[in-house]
Amino acid sequence: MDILENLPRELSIKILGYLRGPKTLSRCTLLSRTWNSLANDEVIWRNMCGLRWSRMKHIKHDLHPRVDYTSLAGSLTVKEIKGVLAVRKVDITGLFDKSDLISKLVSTLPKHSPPQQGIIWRSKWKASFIVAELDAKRVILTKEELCGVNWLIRFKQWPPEQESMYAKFNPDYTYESAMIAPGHSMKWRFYANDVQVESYPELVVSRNKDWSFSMQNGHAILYST
Amino acid sequence: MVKITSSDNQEFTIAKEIANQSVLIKNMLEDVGEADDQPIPLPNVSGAILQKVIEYATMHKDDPPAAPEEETRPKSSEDIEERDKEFMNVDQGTLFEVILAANYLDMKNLLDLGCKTVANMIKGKSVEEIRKTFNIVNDFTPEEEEQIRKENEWCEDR
Repeated sequence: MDILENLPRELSIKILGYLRGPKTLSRCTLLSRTWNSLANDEVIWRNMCGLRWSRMKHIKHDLHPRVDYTSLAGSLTVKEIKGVLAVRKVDITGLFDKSDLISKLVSTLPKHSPPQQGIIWRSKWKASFIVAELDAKRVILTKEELCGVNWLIRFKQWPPEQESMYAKFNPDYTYESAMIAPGHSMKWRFYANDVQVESYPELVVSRNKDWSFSMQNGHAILYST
Repeated sequence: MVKITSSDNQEFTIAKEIANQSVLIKNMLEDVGEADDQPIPLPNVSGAILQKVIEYATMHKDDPPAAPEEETRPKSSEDIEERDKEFMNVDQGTLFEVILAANYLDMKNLLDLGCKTVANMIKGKSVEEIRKTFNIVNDFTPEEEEQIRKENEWCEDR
């Protein structure tokens, strides 16, 4: 018998809540219309995001800013739309109608977001979960990310016992580090998708298992914390 | 002792500590008081399922009281005691009825056990295997199915 079709919805949701893998839960959306509606439940996916993201760096338990919300606009509250726009650093002064906020939302998808053409999302938290996974492979840093996190730098020739030192990229393109004498600073800039300090070899960005960033050249490696 | 009757009028006489595992019955007993020896009617549960539920309550009568639910503690469908696994080795109709009964009788541990058991029947199976397990009728149009596959692409690739 189709147990989940016949149980009260809240019990079916409770059952699907025990499925930890996004893969299994995603499969359930393919079974039938009833299962699709259950397996796209916002509460389940919100919990999945919470569990997964709590072990990851640089992600807050909010709807993901890099989701293309075109197909979800109707299911978002004004507060949620404003939240996403705030993370995207979009100016919303003068926008009061929900419809205006929605058009702002769908027209401001950040550059280098995971491709979502042709996908009709049915759950905002499922969309956030999947987009977060895809976005965790992005190796193009935004200025906000580069300047918004703390970095630890170590040189490759250092002995292992030597502790890494802090480094900071400021929005005014100055670079600070424990390696630089007090009162002095260096300049940084984006060089294509890499980051360059003064005229040192550019730092190539990569991602780690915990979604933190690394940047390295032949001499040094930096980790985001 | 406490008397309860099922939807099909079967009467069961059970010890109070067993009856009290159902929050519903516990609250009813508190309401009617000790003196009343009228059986408690349970019109939503059949005799066969009540028998099964009593079996579970008897098996767990010496369990320590359940700790208050901790929101943060991740619950897993894998942590099922061996005797409970044995207990839940039933046909799907019974499993379904036990879940409904546990929900109605407000027996949290039994409800969790039933739900975990169903979850474990879903885990690790392909779409076709799950459909077969639960006799699910695919009521999607090919276009709808294609659309959902697209949405799921990421998960299957991983």
